[in-house]
Order: sequence, then C-alpha cells, then structure tokens
Amino acid sequence: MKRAFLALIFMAISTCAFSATLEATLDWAGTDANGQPEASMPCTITIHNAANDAILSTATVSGAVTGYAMPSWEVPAQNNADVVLTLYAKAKDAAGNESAKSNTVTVTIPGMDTLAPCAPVIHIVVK
Amino acid sequence: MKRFAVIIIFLLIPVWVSATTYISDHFDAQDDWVGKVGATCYDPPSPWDGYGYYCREGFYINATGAHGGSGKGVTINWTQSMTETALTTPTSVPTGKSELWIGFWYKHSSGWNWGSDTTHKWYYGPETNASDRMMINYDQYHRAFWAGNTQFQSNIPFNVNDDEWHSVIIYLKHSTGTGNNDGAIRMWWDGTEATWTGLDAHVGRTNLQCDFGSGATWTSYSCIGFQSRPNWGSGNISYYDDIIFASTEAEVTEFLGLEGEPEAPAPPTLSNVTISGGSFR
Repeated sequence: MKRAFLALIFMAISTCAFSATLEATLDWAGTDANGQPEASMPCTITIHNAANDAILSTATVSGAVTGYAMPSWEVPAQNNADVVLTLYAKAKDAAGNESAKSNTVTVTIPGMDTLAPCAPVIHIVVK
Repeated sequence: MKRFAVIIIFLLIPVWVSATTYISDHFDAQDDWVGKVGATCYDPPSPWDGYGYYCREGFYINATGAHGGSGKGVTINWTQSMTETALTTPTSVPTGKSELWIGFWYKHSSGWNWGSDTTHKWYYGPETNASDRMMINYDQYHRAFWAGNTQFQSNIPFNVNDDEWHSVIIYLKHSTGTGNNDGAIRMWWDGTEATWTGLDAHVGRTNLQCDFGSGATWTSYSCIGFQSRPNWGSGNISYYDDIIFASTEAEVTEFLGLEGEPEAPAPPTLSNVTISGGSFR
C-alpha cells in the first residue's frame, strides 16, 4: 500500500470588530393603561430598536420601578461610521397584553476610525 | 369509611349552571336596511321574534354601525323629523324568567346631546304614568328603565358622546312579588359598575316589575327596549351592535368579546441611555 502524502492547508483570516456597550434606565408605574394596578404580574420590559422593532434588552419586573437599569447590550459599529439608534420600551404583562410604545430616545454612537485595521493572520498547517 | 367515600363522590359532582342565550345578534348576517322605512323594517331579523327592530327614517343596518371594524351594526342617523323611538322591544325572551343579563355595544357621535344637557348620565326610572317598558337611555327625559315608581340616575357622568364604542352590561332581577324588596338593577359601563343616586337602591329593590298592568311579576320581556333620542338636529348619530339577552353574565361577556380582555400595562418611560464605550474583540 502506497504511502500517502497528505497536505492540508488551513487558512483563516481573523477580523477585528468594534462594539459599543449601551445601558439604559427607565421608569414603569406598575399600572395598566387605565392607571389601575397591573393585575397580571410579573411584566416583561423590553427595549427595542425603533428602526426594526428588534428587542435589544429584556428584564422582568414585579412592580413599579424608577431609574431601573436594564441589562446592557452591545451595538456593533458599522463601517466605522456613526451609528444613530432610536430606542423605545414596552411592557408586556403575564397575560400577554402589551403596552403601547414608550417615548423614544435617540443616541449616537460615534464612529471609531482612529485605529488601523487589524492585520490578517494566515495559518498554514502542513501534514 | 363507606359514608366517607360517598361524601367524597358527592363533592366531586360538578354543579351545573344553566346558561341560556335568549336573543343575540351581531347583525353581521342581516340584510342591509338602506332606504327602508316603516313597516317593511319590522320584519324581525332572525333570531328575533315580535317587533324585531324598529326601522324608521334614519335607521340602518349596515357596515357603518359595525363594532370591531367589520360586519354590520345598527346606525341611527337622527333627523329633525324623528319622534321618540326605540331600537327594539324583543318578545322572544321566555316569560317568567326572574333574572336577565343584557349586553350591547354603543357609540354616539361626537357632540351627541340633548339640548343643554351635557351631563350625559345613564338613568333608570319610570315614565310618568308608568310605562310597561323598561328602557335604556341616557337622559332624564327618556329614562333608562321604567321600573316601579322611582327614577334613579348613575352618579358616574359617563361620557356618551365621545365617538367611541362603549360596552354596557345590565343585570335585572325581578322582585318576587309586590312589596318584596329583592329585585335588582345593576349596570356596568365599560366594566365599571354604575352606582345610583335617587330614591331607591339598585339591589334590594322593591317592586322591580315590568308589567305594571298585571302587578306582581314580569310576564314578558317585551317590556325591555333601547331608546335613545338626542336633541333633534343633524349630526347626531347613534350606533349599536352585538346585542344579547342571556341568563348568565358569562354569556354576555363572551358575546361582547370582553372575556379574557384585561387591560394592557402602561408603557414604561425610557430615559438616560448611556454609551459605556467600545472594545476590540
């Protein structure tokens, strides 16, 4: 049986990425739309990207909150340009009823084109 | 031990509550009342018997009056020439029923009014000289219910002319006999129960009867009607939809689409979004 010579070359190119960490606080009155105490607790509070309604952060609360710190989330930079993000929040009770959208808040994540891009790395394996 | 087992079995037997819908109508399957006036519109739409609906000038069954954005409902386009009128006085509710639940949706156009009366409360009460009808209405001149000899009004100034749909649920219970104070009239407007000012209570009510002519008991539900008439003049429009007469509250709430409809929570207020910086990875 002939001996086989096998050479495999693996090449991988690593990339670099930039992301910003966003944190938001919010208030929730713990009431229903009529101002009465919310009957179906707990409620799920979500922060959304107004551009596509995607959920960015989720938390569960069991009553009114003030200055509540939502879990942080990361936003990847795109083409080193500024990222303008408009956010809103919603509440959904345990019965599945969803609130109207909250006020919106717009933030701008500045582009970070101050560093040279990462150099590619080539990995070669020969067997 | 045997006795114990029997008791357990007895406790496991469900208690059956009889539920009967006497009359209900979403109007969706009814022929349009367009251009029909008078006797031709007394044809009782199924499943109604008796009078059906009064069809007079300005009365329509059409899509305009539909609650929920589809189907049909009743539209009353009030005109100067209209006289006092009622939507219906159904007679197909079995006689002798001591309790009755009624539900419907209504909407009055913005600015709907009765002259200078802007309080827009709901009234129960008797017509002078006693009518044989019990009616639902909003002003003191055309009272909600004729029942006994006292008129009482809701102390909640329900807004009836905001051009929005509102649900009304009414519970009626006969007095068991003349002089017995065990009748009841209760009403919920968008789920909030009305309380009443006046000379009598809405529960423990004496002589809650309809057929005053025969005395002691209601003998027919032909005594029940809906009546509304705003100040004469163009622009006042009333809408009714999803009318039901039933034996239990559950049937009414389900028919009106109110079952399992808790209020949505209030929206949060978003504030103070911060960027904590970036990081390579």
